[in-house]
Amino acid sequence: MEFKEMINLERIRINVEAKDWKEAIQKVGELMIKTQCVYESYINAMIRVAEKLGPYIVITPGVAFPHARPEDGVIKPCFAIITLKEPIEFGNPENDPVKMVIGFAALDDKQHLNALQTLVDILSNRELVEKMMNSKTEQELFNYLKHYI
Amino acid sequence: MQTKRLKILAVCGMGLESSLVLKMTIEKALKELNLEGEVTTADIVTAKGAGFDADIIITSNELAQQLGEIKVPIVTVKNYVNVQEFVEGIRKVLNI
Repeated sequence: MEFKEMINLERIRINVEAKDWKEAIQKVGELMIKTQCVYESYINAMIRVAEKLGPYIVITPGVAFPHARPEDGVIKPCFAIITLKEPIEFGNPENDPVKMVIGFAALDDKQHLNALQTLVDILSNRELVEKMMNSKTEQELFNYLKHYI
Repeated sequence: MQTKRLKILAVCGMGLESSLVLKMTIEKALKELNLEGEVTTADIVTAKGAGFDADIIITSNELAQQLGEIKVPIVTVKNYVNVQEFVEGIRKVLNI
């Protein structure tokens, strides 16, 4: 499963409004449901994982990475990205507040590794992450990813 | 250059994608340090048992506390994708 097969313009939304971290995960999950990547159960599973792991899903400053298990309702591997209109606290003192949420769904351990590797490469480029967070349109954010496709 | 293959265990809360992200950053850090190593992933519960088989454990601050007292040196990281933070942490525990 390559990176370009897992993300498309339909699964990117910028300046999303959310009152708390749960709603932020809900909103990113809705994009995954709308594009037939996961069942509704996956959203609740992502929230449960975040409740259990709490702060650990904020893997780099300003970026939350909610995910759950394949059996929690994944139809096809994908990820979705939202940027938040107002940054939200997820409870991670080092990496809060969160400005961008990347919902991730995988089917098994190996299939999605290429795509995850690409995502890690992107997130380790701080300049690029800042640009993504500050994108004015969905297309602009998608264009930053295109360099990696 | 060290010839011994390091065994590194990446630990996250559930052993899902987050520990894979850790693993990928660890592999980049090893490359930068010119070290050979094998990186495995585990959730916190498994790690408490399997951890003893590793040379180094890499995890977050909070999870490190949950691991309790173990003999394996632990590198704690804040930013899961910051290669430099990992490089420095590994250097510190290996004294290189």
